[in-house]
Amino acid sequence: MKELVGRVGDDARTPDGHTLPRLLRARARQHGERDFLRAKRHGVWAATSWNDAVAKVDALALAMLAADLKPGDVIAVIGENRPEAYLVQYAALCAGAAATHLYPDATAAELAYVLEHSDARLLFAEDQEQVDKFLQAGSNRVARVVALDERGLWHYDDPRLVSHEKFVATASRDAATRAQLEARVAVGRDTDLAALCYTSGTSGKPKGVRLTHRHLLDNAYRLVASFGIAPHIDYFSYISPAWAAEQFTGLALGLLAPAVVHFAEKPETVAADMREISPEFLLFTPRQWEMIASSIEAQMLDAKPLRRRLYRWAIGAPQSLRPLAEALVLRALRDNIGLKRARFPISAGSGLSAEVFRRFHALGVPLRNLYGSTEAGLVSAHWGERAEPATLGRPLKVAACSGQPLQLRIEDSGELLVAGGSGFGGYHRDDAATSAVQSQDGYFRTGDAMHLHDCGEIVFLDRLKDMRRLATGERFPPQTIENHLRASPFVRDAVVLGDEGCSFIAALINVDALILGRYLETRNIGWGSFAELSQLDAVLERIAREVAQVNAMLPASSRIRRFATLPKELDADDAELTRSRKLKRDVIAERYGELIASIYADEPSCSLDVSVVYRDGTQGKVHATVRILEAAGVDAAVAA
Amino acid sequence: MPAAILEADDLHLSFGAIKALSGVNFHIGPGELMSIIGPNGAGKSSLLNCLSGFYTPNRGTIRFAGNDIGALSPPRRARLGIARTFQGIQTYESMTVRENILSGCHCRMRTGLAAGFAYWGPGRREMVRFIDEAESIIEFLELEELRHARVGDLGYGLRKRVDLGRALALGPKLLILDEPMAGMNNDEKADLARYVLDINDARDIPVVLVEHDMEVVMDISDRVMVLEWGRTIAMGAPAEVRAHPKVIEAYLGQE
Repeated sequence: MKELVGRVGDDARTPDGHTLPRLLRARARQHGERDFLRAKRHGVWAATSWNDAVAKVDALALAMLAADLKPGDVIAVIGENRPEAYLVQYAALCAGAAATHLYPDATAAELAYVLEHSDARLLFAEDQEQVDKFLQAGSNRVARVVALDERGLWHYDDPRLVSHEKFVATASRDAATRAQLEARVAVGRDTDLAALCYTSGTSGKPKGVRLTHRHLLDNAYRLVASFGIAPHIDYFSYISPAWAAEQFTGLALGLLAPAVVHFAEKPETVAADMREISPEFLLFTPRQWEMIASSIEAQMLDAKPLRRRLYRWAIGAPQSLRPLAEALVLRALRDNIGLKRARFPISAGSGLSAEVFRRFHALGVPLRNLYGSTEAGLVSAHWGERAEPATLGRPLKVAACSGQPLQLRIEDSGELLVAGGSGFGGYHRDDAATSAVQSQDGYFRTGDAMHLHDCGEIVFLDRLKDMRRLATGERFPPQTIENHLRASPFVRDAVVLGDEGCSFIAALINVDALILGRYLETRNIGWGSFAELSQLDAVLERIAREVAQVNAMLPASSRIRRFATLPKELDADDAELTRSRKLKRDVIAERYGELIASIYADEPSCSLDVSVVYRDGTQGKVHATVRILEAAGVDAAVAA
Repeated sequence: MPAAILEADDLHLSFGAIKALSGVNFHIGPGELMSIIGPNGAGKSSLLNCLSGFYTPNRGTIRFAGNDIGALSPPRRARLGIARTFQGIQTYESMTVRENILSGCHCRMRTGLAAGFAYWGPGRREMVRFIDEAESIIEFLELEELRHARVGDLGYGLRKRVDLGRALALGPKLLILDEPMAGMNNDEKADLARYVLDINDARDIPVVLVEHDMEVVMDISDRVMVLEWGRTIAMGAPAEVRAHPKVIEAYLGQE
């Protein structure tokens, strides 16, 4: 068992028992006419000042009172990120209610489930598409559906449906109603529910995580204090507020820091909008960072040879030539992708490959990993100077008024447990599930297997349920190892072996004949069949280097000791893979049983006959002598 | 019944011995979406050309908002608010989407070349106003991500949408669309049909649509007129027209 303890933050912008509505009003008094929200309208960036925001939020909140929204109620919002989605949530909070957001691509069934489970009274739907989902879902509890964009809804006759404009117009603006609203803002407590975030739930129905005002501001503070986020920083709101991360970084941090929150015009214009905004602070998922990285690569492939060579040189330039590379290539490139001013570009989640991470750093983009969960909030990040690609950073700082500093515990099973800060608020209407994810001493069980890097930062291994155990009792993450192997261009697929009957980890590797073919051509090496290619010295040496590199990224207990390259491609036609290219481990274990036995019997090679089914249905046999190699780097320390 | 926006009364048009139109009558009311269908050579395009002023009918009158416009030139009719798109692609390829749409505002400009060149005072204010109008059309037609794209680089369906946007920039009181969906795939047709309906609904602009695709016509029209050899053989709601024996014979073919 290993423990890590975080620090107390020293930034003065502490939550101090504020609720979001009270903080919004305080910020408006401080900053008045300064910009708070910016969105593109008719091709021009239009700003909403703090004063405008309060006026709009109040108008909406008064209309919500007129619609009989009571403290403790919930409203639902479905659509893309736009300023109205923020204003609607702030308004609901002013009225004493909470908000739950849904991803714009949620299905009608998912919408129905969330509406039912959260008992939402009002639904704010972005457009006709979302209204149609509601009508299809057919919830009876929702009293009003407010369409933000009326287009296409002119002939709808559902009495619950109302346009945003008409909804706001239903508010009574007399002194008594205003006083009622102010009273609700004044009596709101920071322990009140502010948002419900439904977790995707790979198994079973989604669970609604309760996020209080205190929890939202606690997490916003963790970022503000740990990263040192300056007031009025330009933030780009891109991930959905249905995700807890956006609740923390956008809705709460927007008020706490405060930030200037920017919205893209449409999902299709994100790249162009980002270039215009050039945000200082932004949060994308690993997948989105990978897409930006590959779009840069794709554009460079189309570039003229001279430019391409300049680019290659610049990203690999030694430190002494870095200023020249900056001036010639990198600054312009960052400007082009909208990351010129990015001080805190953040990858939220655990899946970003170290290679993509390094590539952004080579471009001069100071990418940082941020790890957290909906339940435990934001846990760790690369704050400060160092950003180790393989890790998820150090525990974040917590305000003294929010609770204890973060305590991270990695149990012997590898599971990460988290305590500290405002803690986990529980699942909405599901006490059984709530207690199931908490330890006896009040830690939250993340379900993520982690290990502690030599530098004292945490490294994600796998989901705990996907971990496997060796005969020695040590656990290892087979899928993570396979993903690392697959990240090599020379490896098409990989099967990691090892279970309670084995004393070490081994790997069967399906080499990529296309890429290795080119590699061999440049070395003037000929080959006949795939089986022959897979056993060439040059290929085995190349694969051995890749395996050694993967070993360097893994903790000592998860390293590959022996490996062999398969003499035949894994093929769905041979039932070794599913049609979506997932491994069928039992078939592979049976078909390559002899080879696996030889690996674990410490033999240097294995003579193998494998049957192949051809496209026309006929069967054939592939005969090969497969060599088994010892992997390098098994006992070395984890490379820094 | 409310006053008709456009009334055509007893139109006759011939080219030498060929009679393109013989006694066509029709009217289109406010907010109406009317389609004209008919086999090739039935006189659909001739009729449209009479409406927009490219042809002068040999006989008959055309009234727009109660006034006889039979003697007016096409630009004068455009200024009155009759906008038209043409068959095929008629956009300016080297200009951007927004510039193409702005070009539709041209005939409504009050300031001259010098004011535009100076980009100051009234000329600038007018330009800013038109850009805002063009942007609301871009928003309406969902072309935001392409506003600065060169039209020549776009696909056929998108270019037709730009064409439609330019017609809207005229601020029309009546929109005439000549086979806008010819050469489109089904997705593009469905998209464009949606926009045509939205224009008709949201902007309350009456639309005259000439189109070959029967499915689209029957789906979106309030009323359908069928021409054959320059004569109206049927006129009415889509269901009526579909069941009309002459239409079945002339257009849909005999069973």
